[in-house]
Amino acid sequence: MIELRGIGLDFGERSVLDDFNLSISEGEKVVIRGKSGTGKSSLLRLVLGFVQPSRGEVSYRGQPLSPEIAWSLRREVAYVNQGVDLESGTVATALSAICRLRSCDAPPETAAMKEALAVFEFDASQLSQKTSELSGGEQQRIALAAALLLQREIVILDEPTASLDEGLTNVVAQYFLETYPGTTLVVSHDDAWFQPERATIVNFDTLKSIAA
Amino acid sequence: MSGATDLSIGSLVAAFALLSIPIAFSITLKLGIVRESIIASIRMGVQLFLAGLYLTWLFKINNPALNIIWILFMMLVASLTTVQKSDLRPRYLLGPVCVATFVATIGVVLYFNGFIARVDRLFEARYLVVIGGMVLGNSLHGNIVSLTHFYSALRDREERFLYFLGNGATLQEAVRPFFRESMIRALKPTLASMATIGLVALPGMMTGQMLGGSDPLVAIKYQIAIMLTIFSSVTVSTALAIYLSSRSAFDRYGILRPKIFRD
Repeated sequence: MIELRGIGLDFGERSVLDDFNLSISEGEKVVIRGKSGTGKSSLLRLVLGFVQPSRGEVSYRGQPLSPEIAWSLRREVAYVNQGVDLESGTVATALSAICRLRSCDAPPETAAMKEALAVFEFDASQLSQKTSELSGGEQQRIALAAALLLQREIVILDEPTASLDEGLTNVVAQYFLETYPGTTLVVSHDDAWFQPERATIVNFDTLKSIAA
Repeated sequence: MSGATDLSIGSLVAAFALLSIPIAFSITLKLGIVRESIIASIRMGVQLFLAGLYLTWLFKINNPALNIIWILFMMLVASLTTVQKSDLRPRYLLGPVCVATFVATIGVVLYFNGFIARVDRLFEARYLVVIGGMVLGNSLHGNIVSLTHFYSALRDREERFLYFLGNGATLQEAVRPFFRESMIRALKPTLASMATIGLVALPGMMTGQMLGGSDPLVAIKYQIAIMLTIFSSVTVSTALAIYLSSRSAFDRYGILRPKIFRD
């Protein structure tokens, strides 16, 4: 489904990735681990077409990631990035804003919003609360709920549990590695995601040592 | 009513003497703007003096082609200043800003001349150059504010932009919140001055007309029309400047080109 072949990524003099290969099949769960600065987030950006590889090729469903393919890939992706920065307004308006990107025109039902929020143990009665009053962890759970509401085939999550406590981290990791039906690509340094029996684990620390 | 009393050289010297007040403040409070204040004042004097000479000649000749050339020159200078003050590279932004400024200025000024002032000659210097200059000055300010905010916000809050892009937003959808904020910032000064005009400040055009001997009621009617004209032109030029510049500021993947920034 998504393939990265011989990827090299340089930022000026610094090489972030070198001869990196990864093949992700439909429905597969892939967890990228590694220390900060090893290029984990850059890998997600490569897949989404936010940066272009210095060497090698990214392809989606067998086609090189041209601008046209990148735009169509993004329409099949639910993406949660680091440092969630929700729109000002209430939780409901923030969810509606992201859900406007769904292919169907109808706004999400309040019941659907509550259901998605409940998956990540977010109190549904807070739908009318202002996003500016929420903690980083609460904002992160709203972004994860929005990812569910988008009903996409692929989820791409960049440190989705960085602001959550251990209990909630386990809930989120279990959900995406066990229950979520779609293809899942996650970058996280949390141990809860380290489940080799359920996901393909790519350790960037090991890659770096091999590359070195 | 008679025209305004002419100012003698001595009067102008007395006006320049007022400069000693900000200079004294700058020295005492170490504001570091003494040199800038002197240079800006001299520039203003020389530029306005030359403009006065040129406008006298322009009004006398009153040739539509010359008037148009002059307003086009003013637009080019305004567009260059906009791009430079926004810390953006002219190579990517000058063309779009020129088009935005041209469309907004020419559009509303011709509307003003044709449907509001109802002058017989649309390209008459007194209206085209003077009204055009006022509209341009405000569009210039609006464009600087909106372009600076739009592109710096996109760079500073890149994660929010990429969040929308990564979730399948079109480029227009992903930049919409930034576009909205930038427009509001550009329009707020004009809105504020419309809301307080007559109460807090008497604008330059109205004061000038009254000093020149016009009936205050005539001056006020002109002022109302010009404020609405300015508000429309700032709206059109800021919206167009952002829209047109964004076509060259993003690559085909929808990512902002770092090269558009000068730093």
